[in-house]
Amino acid sequence: ENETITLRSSDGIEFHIDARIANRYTLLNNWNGENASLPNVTGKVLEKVLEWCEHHINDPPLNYDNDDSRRRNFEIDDWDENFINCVNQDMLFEIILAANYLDIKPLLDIGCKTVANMIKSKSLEEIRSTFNIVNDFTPEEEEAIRRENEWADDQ
Amino acid sequence: FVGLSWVKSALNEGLFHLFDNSNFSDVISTCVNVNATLKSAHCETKNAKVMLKIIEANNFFSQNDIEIVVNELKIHCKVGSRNSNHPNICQIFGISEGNGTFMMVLQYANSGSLQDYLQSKMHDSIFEISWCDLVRIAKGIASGLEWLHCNEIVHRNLTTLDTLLNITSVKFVKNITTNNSHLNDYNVNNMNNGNNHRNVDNVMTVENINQHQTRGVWTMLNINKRKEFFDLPDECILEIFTYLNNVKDLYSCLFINKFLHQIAMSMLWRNPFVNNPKSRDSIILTYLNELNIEEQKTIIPLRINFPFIKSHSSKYAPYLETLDIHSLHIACLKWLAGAGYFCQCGELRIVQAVVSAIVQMIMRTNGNLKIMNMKVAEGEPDCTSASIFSSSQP
Repeated sequence: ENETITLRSSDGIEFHIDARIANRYTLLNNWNGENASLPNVTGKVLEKVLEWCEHHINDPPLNYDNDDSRRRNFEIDDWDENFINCVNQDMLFEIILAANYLDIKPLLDIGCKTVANMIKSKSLEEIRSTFNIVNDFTPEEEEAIRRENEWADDQ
Repeated sequence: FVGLSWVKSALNEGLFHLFDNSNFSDVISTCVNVNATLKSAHCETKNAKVMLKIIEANNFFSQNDIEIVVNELKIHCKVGSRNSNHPNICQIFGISEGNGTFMMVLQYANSGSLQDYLQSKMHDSIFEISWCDLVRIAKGIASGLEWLHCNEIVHRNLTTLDTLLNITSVKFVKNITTNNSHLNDYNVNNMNNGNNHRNVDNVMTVENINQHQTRGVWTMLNINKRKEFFDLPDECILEIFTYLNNVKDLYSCLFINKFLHQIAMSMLWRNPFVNNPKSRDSIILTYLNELNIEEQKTIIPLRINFPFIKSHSSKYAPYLETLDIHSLHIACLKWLAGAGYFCQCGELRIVQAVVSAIVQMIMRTNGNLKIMNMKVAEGEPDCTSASIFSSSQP
């Protein structure tokens, strides 16, 4: 019951995790019973990912057959919200990348919802400055987009 | 080198390791300078990629040259070894020799120089790098330099030319050298605030340095680049957009930049009629703009000489997923009435012609249509004249 597996991060830090965590997620599950190296995830990020996994170890089994039903839920529960709000933007993107790489879909969803929430109700300039994005449109292109999408502006 | 007494004792103390020449595979040249060649390689013992600084034996002309390299090893041990390291300074793992070369085995950095990196950010005379990135690079360099200074080492000729870039981090390889008199000045002056200006001049000046002092030691400063929005793979960015179901938010995203415009636009135009927008004229005008010559011909005889305006490069019709003929009909009707066309004809056949032309255009260009609702209200003309199966798709 207390079977553990060892994960080694890209910077050589080892984590001994409950095998039940590995059993929950497809990709980790493939490594069950062996020591696994994760060349794309640093120790700092893996620690956060495993903290999330450990908290959710007793969640009901995952069912992702219906992709749309998963997306219908736009809410983030309190613990997850607190977990994700405690990390800076750099770490948020690192967690999304790691969850995507490790195929931990519920954590990927939380990360993506959080980024979406950072976009919602923000002005254009706020979005650009939050995510450090450079505007590559000419004024003429902006004007054409404004004209062609006028219907969406009055929503 | 292995026979030299300091190298012997360093190996015994485990400051670095002696690697066999056969340890390295996949050797790729990264950077060449006057004194040495830098190559990336896979190290079997470490089971990881490393950088090899390779010095040809015929570059050693005198005992003095050998001492310079030994001095370089000492500096590496001081600032970038297993026992003494810094995140912005590249580590030394060991040495290797054979086949007429001497090699230092250093921490891996995977791409071209900082100079190449900065030049790659230059497009059409516009330097496309964010201030955040520039500050991060500068901060990493300053942090590495601080560490060198704390270890009484002076960096004398900082340029971007020998700087290496990693995908997730920026690393640079540079000549550093020690000069005891400068170090003493630096330390003394550092404690004497009144002389700080002179102190900086002393530390940074590159004048009057002997030839042998500038060659030799390369050190990598590792600048960690923070993850940013566009470091996310496309599938993650698409995933984020699935949580932006609000038309207002998607409208804002149309203008952020060209990449995000495409995603937001494809989502907005899946079913533009669904939210019953007030100003639907722009939908009709945008669709009319996408008619080809044949489709335009069907409405020009009806004197619908709407202004064909030069469109921004996007095509909107291909993203439609739900086509409701009734909604399209109402939108066309309102636009035509608003534009005064009914005064000329007074017939609904003009509406039918416009609806038919748009439907035909959608059938021609769209491969994403999932739902087509052809139910029309009583009194509305259907679009029997539109050849909706004129293309093979959908």
